[in-house]
Amino acid sequence: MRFNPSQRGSLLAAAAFLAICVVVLQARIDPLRRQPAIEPPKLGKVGGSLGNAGASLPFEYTLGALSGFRQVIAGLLWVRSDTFFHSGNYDAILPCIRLITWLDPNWLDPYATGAWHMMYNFTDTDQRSDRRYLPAGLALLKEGIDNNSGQYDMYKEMGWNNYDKIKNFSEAAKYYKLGMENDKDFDITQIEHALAHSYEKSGQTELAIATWEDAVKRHKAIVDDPKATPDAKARNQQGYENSRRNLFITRVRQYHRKTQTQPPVDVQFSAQVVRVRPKVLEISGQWNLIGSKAYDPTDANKPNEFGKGMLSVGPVDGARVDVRLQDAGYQMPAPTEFNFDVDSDLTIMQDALSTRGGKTVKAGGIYVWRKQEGGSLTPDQNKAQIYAFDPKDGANPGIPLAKALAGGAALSPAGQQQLATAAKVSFAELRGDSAKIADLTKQGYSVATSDRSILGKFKREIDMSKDPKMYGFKSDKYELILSINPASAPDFVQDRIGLMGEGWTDKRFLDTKTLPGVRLIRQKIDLSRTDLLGTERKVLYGSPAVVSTAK
Amino acid sequence: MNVALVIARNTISEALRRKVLNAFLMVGVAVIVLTFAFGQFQARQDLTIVKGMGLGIISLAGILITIILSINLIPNEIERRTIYTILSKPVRRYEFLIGKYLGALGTLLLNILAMSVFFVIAFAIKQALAGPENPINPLSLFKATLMIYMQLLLLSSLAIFLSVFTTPLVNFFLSFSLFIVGNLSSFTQDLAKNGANPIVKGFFLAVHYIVPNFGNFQYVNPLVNPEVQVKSEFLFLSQNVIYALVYAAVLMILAILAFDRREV
Amino acid sequence: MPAAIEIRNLTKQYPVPLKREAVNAVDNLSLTVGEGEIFGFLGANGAGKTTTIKILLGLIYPTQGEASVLGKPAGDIEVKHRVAYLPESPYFYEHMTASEVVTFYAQLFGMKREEAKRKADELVDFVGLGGKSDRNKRISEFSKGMRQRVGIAQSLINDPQLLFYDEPTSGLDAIARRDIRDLMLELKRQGKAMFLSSHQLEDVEAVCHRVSIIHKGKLRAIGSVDELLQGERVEIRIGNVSPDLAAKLKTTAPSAIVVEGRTTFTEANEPDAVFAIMEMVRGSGGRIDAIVPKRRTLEDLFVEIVGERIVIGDGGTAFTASESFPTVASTSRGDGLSSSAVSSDVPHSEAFNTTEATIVEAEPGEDAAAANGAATATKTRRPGANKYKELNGK
Repeated sequence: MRFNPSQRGSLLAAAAFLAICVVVLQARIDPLRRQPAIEPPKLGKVGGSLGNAGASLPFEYTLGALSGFRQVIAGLLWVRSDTFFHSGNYDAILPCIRLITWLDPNWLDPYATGAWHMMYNFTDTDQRSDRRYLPAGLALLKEGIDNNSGQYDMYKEMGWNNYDKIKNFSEAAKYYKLGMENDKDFDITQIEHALAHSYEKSGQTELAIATWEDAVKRHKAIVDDPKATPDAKARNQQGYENSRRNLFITRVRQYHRKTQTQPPVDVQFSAQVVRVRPKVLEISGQWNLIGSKAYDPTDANKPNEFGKGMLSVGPVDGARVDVRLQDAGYQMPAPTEFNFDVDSDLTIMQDALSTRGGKTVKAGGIYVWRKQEGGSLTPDQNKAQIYAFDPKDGANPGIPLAKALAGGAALSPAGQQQLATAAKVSFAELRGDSAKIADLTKQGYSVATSDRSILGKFKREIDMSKDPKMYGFKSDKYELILSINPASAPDFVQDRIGLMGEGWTDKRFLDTKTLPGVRLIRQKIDLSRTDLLGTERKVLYGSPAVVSTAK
Repeated sequence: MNVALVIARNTISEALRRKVLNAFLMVGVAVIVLTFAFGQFQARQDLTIVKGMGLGIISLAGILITIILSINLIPNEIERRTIYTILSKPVRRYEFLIGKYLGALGTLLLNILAMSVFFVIAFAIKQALAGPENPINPLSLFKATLMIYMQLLLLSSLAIFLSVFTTPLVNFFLSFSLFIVGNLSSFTQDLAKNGANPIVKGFFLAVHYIVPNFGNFQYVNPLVNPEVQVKSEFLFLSQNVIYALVYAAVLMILAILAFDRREV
Repeated sequence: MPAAIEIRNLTKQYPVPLKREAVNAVDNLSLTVGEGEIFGFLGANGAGKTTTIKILLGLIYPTQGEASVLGKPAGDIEVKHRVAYLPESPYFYEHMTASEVVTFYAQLFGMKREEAKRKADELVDFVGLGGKSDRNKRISEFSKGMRQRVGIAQSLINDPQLLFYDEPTSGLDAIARRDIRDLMLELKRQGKAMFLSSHQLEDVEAVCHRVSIIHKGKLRAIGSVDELLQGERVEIRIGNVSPDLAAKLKTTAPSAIVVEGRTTFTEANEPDAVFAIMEMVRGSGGRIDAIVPKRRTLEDLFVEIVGERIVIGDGGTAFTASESFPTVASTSRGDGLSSSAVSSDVPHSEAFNTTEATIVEAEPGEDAAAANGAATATKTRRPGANKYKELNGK
């Protein structure tokens, strides 16, 4: 029995009324859906940034993505990209990452891992990073931040990559700060500690101290919170202690560096660039790298006692000379849209050369004369700032200890101090102990009759011929930049040269313009394509060594 | 209405014996088990994958079961002529249709519940073993499966409505297409807002409001990524439930009207 | 007392895809079925029988005309409590047992589960499926005959006043057919009205009070079985048939069956025709063995009315097209039984007693030759090519 017209009419009216309810409901649901948690902002944008991956995008992925199985597909791709990683197929990872972060923009690990691959894992045969990928890595992290702006995780990644890889400490500080501001549940250790370090490295010591103080308070509050879990308490207790120690160390350094970095040391930088074979450069040079040899730190329990700071200063190993060869005039572009297709014509090579072997002794001071093959200096010798000289360093600056004490040469007061520190007895006692003197003499202990200094040296052969994909040398003009950034030097070097290089100078290579506020040691050398590809061994650049100050 | 319940119960008992549907259920469960085999990631990533895959598989298996079940409910009865004997009994056509729909809903409920319970238990075990920093309450996964169920409830009513006047094959593609279009609602909304001209805008506005908005029910993301949080979760969940029920009611009324005229 | 079924000028048109005109599945049909009457509704496949039943049950809707069942419009929900339907080759949920299926249908009448189950068991016993081995079988394991029994069981749940049985014996083997026929006779004894659609003419003949014949949606004949089958005819058995005689017989009476060149059977119901054949036999040296009077069968009638041969094989029936039909005069009587007769201006000449497809048939050429011969019914009955297709076993 069919419905009669009036029944049909009623049913249709009911359907129409309910349909209007549907529209109203949809209008109410729409804004709720516009939450990053439900529909991340980038989800709607199937941009051109898919690159080549878009062309070969398998149909089932597209369908899955469009029909509401984003997380499934993302998970499958992630598993797949992990196998690529384990098999060393890095190139295949990036398209996967691109798709995953598009499919599931709230999934944080793929951004972090993807950026890590791009910032660190694409390397040449000698493990030098392919820095052409850096902008892409940063852009990926930027996308991660855009899609997950309410969580600290992506800011943390961005901060760390700027801190560790790019060495742009103020940029790192900016992101760590954003992480703190945008996520009230940020991890204090991961974010605020890193922010304090970034402030410190970028020369903003006051801000660093204030940040450490804040971190101390935050840790303490959680430790004292009766509602905190035992696990959280334990972690924050650790964090509390670390941040307190870091706070005081920073304050001590702030206190002492003001005075102890002066007067500036002349680092006497010189370098030589030699083309060994096509695309193979040998870079060598020397400079006077001075750092703290012994330091009297503070006691964290006595916040107002800053100790004595640097006790002794001298040539050290531990700061690196950055070498960068790139197409002339190249500037790293600002991160925009993530695109993993790098400009294959571009050539960038960056390496860091460690400096070793700086030594010094003043007339009347103690040194060790021996061949370097056997043994190294003991910690006591280091503390006493006793350097070992070797016949290959040149002429012996003095005479053996026994001979000197027998009247061959006078020890300076500093020399006496050195000897006492190394022998752990007073100078007077030592004089009476002939057996000990004989023993020390046998170890090579000697007294300098004249001042003698040897600069720290660096040297490396950089072979770019094995990675033609990475080093295409398509450009006609190149620049080779040798630079030393005091901000990225280790703490014990900064103790003498200062955070921004205020404790050093160089007659020829001091550069205060490239990075405002930072006293770089920097030399830019222009090279042509022929310079790099020529076959003969050729000196491409050589700055004469600074004449030693030794008399 | 008792008659509708009798038909519903009969529909369930029949559907539970259909090999195709059970195959999807079994494959779903099997894949969930496989998901737990991923072990090479850190605990957090591992659980992320397990959650995303598990819920996705429940959803996928649910969609296939729903469509294959719903598109055949009415045509099967007609093709097998069982509908003649039923409608020659004192059964009103709308009672028959509602009974069939309720039967589909019951079948889906049993299927989704089976997969969900299995998945939640497995997940709880996995999470306990992995011991992540921020464990989630495994029961919260039921929020996503509730949303999946509401989505399927709506999809089923759509497929049944279409089945009144299309063949199962046509209906299969039609239902699937509408499901996909309905899932693209975030795109359609953008297109409606930023369309090139008024015609395009109007078209996508209509699509956005008229096509069942299956994308509404996407609640996997906040569970898969527990770091991101949903404001007004209750409002979101409850409004979606109401949306599904109201829209399904509209489709069922239209199905009843169409079926009333249909010659069987 | 209202009629069980009353149909007035019922027409059902189905549109033909891509064509403007529609096909009339039922064409201006009118008939009445009385209470307690077993009414045979005969027709070939596609004649409109099922369409009519579906209209009466409200499964489909008429294009024109009216139909009422038990005094209410067709499809009325209240009426459905008092009627039952057994579709052709009924199909039930395969996973259930007979009892479960019938229980399900019983619940559709609003019976409580327990009550429905009791009723179902009772009916399953009644139709002979209560045996131990059948009780636990699923429908999927049932033979066609068993399914038909389930169909009958489900049709009796509500103790209906009126049953619609559509081809209840088609496709069954001989034993199953007899059993179903017995069941129908039992229902007849119980005084139920039945609208029995069939092309199994024997069943109809055995069971029905009254019979109608429908062809191409139109009612062609209606009346009691006796009324419709009255009339005499004789079978002439001839021996010693020479080839010449055989040829003559074939020309005069194409239905003549010549067996091994010796004995011929032929039939005629007009005295002149009988004599003509006897003369022919005598003149050709043949021998009249016997002249046997025969009653008409429903098949004879069917062929006469529909104008075509019917060949029944494994459920397949085929007819050839025909253009001229006898007209039907129908009169209604006060007692609800209507009497009608085929107008006798169209004589019938040939019939067959066998359901085997072994009927001798004239080729169109010969047929045309026959048209020039004696003025027999054959000539007028078969204008033009009267060729039948034999679907036997296909």
